Amino acid sequence: MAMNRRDFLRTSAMAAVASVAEGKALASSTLESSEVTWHKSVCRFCGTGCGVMLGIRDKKLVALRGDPKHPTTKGLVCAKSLFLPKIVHAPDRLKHPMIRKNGKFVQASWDEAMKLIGDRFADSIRKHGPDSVAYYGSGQALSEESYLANRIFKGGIGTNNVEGNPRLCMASAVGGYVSTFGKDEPMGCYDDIDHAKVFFLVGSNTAECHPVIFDQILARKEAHNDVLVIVCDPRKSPVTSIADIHLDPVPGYDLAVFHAMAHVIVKEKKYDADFIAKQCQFKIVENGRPKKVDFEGYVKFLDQYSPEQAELISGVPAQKIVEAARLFANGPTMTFWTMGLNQRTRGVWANNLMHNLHLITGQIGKPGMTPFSLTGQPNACGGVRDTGSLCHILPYGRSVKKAKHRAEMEKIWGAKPGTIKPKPGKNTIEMFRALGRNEIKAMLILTTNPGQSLPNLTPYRDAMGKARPGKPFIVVLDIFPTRTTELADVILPAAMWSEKLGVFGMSERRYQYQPALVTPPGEARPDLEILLDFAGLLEERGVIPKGYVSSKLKTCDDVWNEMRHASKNTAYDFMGMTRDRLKKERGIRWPAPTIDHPGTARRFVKGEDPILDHGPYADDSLNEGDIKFYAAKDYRATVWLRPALGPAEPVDKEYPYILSTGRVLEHWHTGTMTMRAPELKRAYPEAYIEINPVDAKKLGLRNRDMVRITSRRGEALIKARITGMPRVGMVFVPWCWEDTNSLINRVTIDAYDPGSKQPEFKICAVKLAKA
Amino acid sequence: MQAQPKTEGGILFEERVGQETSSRRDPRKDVDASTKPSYVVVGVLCRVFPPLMGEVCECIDSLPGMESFSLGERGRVGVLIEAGSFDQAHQRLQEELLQVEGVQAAWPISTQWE
Repeated sequence: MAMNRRDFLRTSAMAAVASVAEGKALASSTLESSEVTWHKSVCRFCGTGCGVMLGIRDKKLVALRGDPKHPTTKGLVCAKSLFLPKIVHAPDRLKHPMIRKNGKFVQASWDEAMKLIGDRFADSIRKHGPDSVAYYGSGQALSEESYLANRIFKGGIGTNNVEGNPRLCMASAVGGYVSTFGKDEPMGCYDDIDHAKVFFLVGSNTAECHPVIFDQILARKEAHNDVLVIVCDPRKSPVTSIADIHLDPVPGYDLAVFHAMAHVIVKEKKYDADFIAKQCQFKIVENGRPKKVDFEGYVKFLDQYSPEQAELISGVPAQKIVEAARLFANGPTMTFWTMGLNQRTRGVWANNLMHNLHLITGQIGKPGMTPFSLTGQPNACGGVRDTGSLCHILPYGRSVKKAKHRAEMEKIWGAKPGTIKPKPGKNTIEMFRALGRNEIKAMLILTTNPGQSLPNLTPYRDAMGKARPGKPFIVVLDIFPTRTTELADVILPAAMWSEKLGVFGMSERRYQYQPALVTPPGEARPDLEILLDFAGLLEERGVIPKGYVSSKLKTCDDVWNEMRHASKNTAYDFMGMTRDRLKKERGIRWPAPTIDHPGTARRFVKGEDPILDHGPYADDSLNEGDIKFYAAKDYRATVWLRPALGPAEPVDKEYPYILSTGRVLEHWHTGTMTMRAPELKRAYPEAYIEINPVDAKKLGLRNRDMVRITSRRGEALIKARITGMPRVGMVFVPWCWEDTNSLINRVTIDAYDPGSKQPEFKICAVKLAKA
Repeated sequence: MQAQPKTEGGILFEERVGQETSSRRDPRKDVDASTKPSYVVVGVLCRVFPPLMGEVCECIDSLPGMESFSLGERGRVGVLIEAGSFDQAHQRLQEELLQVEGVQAAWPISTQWE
């Protein structure tokens, strides 16, 4: 019987579902009969790194489905991903360069726009020095793009004013890993989900922000009656639907809960004395300096954080803390966290305390036992953190403060010795403050939307866009009009995702290749090509050495090969990840130092981590399965004794409510992409503020009443949604809507963690009134 | 029967209300212009409360534009959603499939259209 087209589409859809369920590839006959060719790629939303198959017809992306061959995501994708084809081909993509002339954007040629950019940057560098310019990048840029931008600014121009939006989301996780283990990035992997019996989800709405990971946890829990979930979150987010224990501290006061869990573990002798003796050291900061203490000193420190005391501080019942601590210690425990810990003025400390719990119970480096920070962007890890594209770091675990590291990178980049400055550049908040003071005179913003995403938004929008004498020159590369492009002096249309090739590095250290399959719209170009041209213009104008970029790097592949060499003999070593190999495989987890190395599931473990076999960290005295924290001082991870201090802006009589911000399933970050899919937009067409019924009653508010949310910095007008999800005294607003009334970041606070410099998006004091 | 949370892609399903708001620049009103299919089929992987598998499949099959198919695995069932537009398919997923008692999660795996 002949199959008509609709039958064929039905069969294809059924086959795709069956293939995911069975974990097999689609039958080849199904593929062969299609007019569509299918190509493997990777989703460009969150840091889960879902493997996807892209259906291409006539150079257009016409379909997307999960890749059942993908080793970790196994064919699952979330609703956002499925709409990527529509987003790529949305009609309001930026298609031509635009220059602001007399207050209005005018279409320009690439030559005219790039010449203007070259002139303005060169002029600023010549007149005001290298630190008068800055780069603000993104965890959504490809690894090669971030690496190249970093190379141009730090090694070419000679400024460390290189930042990116991971400062807003992951910097505290970086600070936590580095201060505890000596190097950034998780040591565990997604495979650990299949071995864990306890999941500790902290400040993570995994269900909406990392839905494919959440599904894996859900599946594990459904298949095994003894798998338990502890959730720590002041809001009853959807993850609490599977929680066996829900700890709901007053926002900002959870550090006492984590210490109290350690207190219980120690008092009930559930700690791993052998692991502690071999692998850990204990430190406290006194008079601004870290000081070593012994285990007894740690125990004494914990005395002030009994469960009862923690209950007084955090509001979490002591008995729940005891139960959570016991479950955690029984394990095997895998801890996931995201912004609830990171976006805090105590973010690094909160991260340290997660690691403390794993270290004192010896639950690290073994299947199902690991701390694991989830990432919100597809390439915050591989692109920004690993390539060192923040103001204080250099590629692959190097620091601008270390002369040896600067010299290594100057040699690899071919930069004149002494070009890379030893002093960190301005962190994100300070960079935008400097912009507001006209100290930074030219800024390149790539693939991100700070005009909506920065905290305490108003002064920073003014810094970028307010007309004034000496106003800095702002260049924005993006795919759609945003609340940032409207502030720019020049807008450059960038190719999006499947229109350009490169590498994304996701949360579990897996680097994945994305091919260029679709023609960009209009005159849009890959960001990497734009950056190469930018470097060429600066070379021509003599503000970076002639040939510094142009003589060595001409293609994305050239950049990737240099990156591989920059990683050699570091803790990140991925020399074995050739382009050809990445094209064939479904991603590889670093370290992978040789072409035949399969990649590393668990770092720091002899027999798994090749860094312990070859190179500067090799140690032949270890036995298979032994752990060595080779990047840490004295090879010991640090258990930090951090005081349980509260947030930067506690509530008071005038501002009695705590505002927290976050996300919803259908929308991603500032909504630049997801709002282009009407189905996703319709799911959440307008902003809302969640208010507990107790508070709503007190304020006389009903569902859909307009609420004025006011902080010391600004206000927003948003409709009420009365729900028991936030605890009493707390309100919650997702931050993905861009209309002026809904810009909740006008209200949030720009106080930041002194270590990680990450702002406290999660907590500020507000007052509420019916508008 | 034990109460089961309703989830979409793992999230709790709740009523989502509200009308389309006008966009500041309003370029999105015509976002559908490049892709206006007349037929959409979505392949969905559902996680189903195991004791209710039979009832769930029966209920899904009674819904217009929906058809369940076996995946040979307890707790999982495939569903085809057919609709005249993306909107309608999305609406059926959210407002019908996820409302079926015993459906815990629904993962749209494949979307095809013409």
